[in-house]
Amino acid sequence: MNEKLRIKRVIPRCGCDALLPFALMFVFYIILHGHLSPGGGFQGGVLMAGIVALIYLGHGFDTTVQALSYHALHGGEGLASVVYVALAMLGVCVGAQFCQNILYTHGAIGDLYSSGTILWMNITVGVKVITGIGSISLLMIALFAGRDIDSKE
Amino acid sequence: MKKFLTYVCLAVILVASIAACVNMAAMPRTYDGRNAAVSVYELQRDPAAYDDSQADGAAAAIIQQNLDKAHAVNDVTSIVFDFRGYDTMGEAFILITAVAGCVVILYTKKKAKEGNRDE
Repeated sequence: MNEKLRIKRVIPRCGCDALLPFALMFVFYIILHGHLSPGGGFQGGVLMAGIVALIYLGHGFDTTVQALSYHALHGGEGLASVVYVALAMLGVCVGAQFCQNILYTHGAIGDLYSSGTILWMNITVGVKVITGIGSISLLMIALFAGRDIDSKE
Repeated sequence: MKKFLTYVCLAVILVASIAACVNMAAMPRTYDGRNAAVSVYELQRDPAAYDDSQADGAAAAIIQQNLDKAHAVNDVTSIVFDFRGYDTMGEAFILITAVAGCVVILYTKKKAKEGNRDE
């Protein structure tokens, strides 16, 4: 990489660095406050596509692959779905129905920690959508850059 | 033979959908908006004045007993993750299937690419 190209890439990198903390905070705010305000796991997780695109535009392909490990994302998606099913089976274990909310008496109405399994299911679905959409975006970016996703250069 | 089966299946689907459409057109109207109890314009102007005592069935349980049954302020999230949690599980598995399809199509090893270039 020559010196000219390096100087040119300062502006998008600074813009990416300025926007990235707020974008990540927005994602986790929407997921965590799913039971209090409009939003939820699905809506918050889809914003991850924008995060991946932002990192790619600011820092290039190598940094994106280093920052977001594709295999970790792919494994996290399966893990989150298993945790979701386990949380749904929690009701069966104590004698209630599948997916029934059994912990809802914890916390006051309107607090961040309230509504029992709704909060935990929301978080697991959020992690699942974040990892799924993130891995799809990584694959598409690798296709767009014409590079291999496992390359370590 | 394959083509014949395809055409037979498509014809059956077409006939069944035409019959369903004719039956649906003959059915009485369930809601035409004329006898609505709620004026949407007034509801949008003042949501707190919405009278939800006339709701029936599952809507009444969700509207009136949501805070007692789920302790979640957002009704939509309590429906999606509590009352219809099984449906959400299916949605989550649809996402897994979509990601698996994308991986099959888009994931390419470097060796395969180089092999293609050599050819």
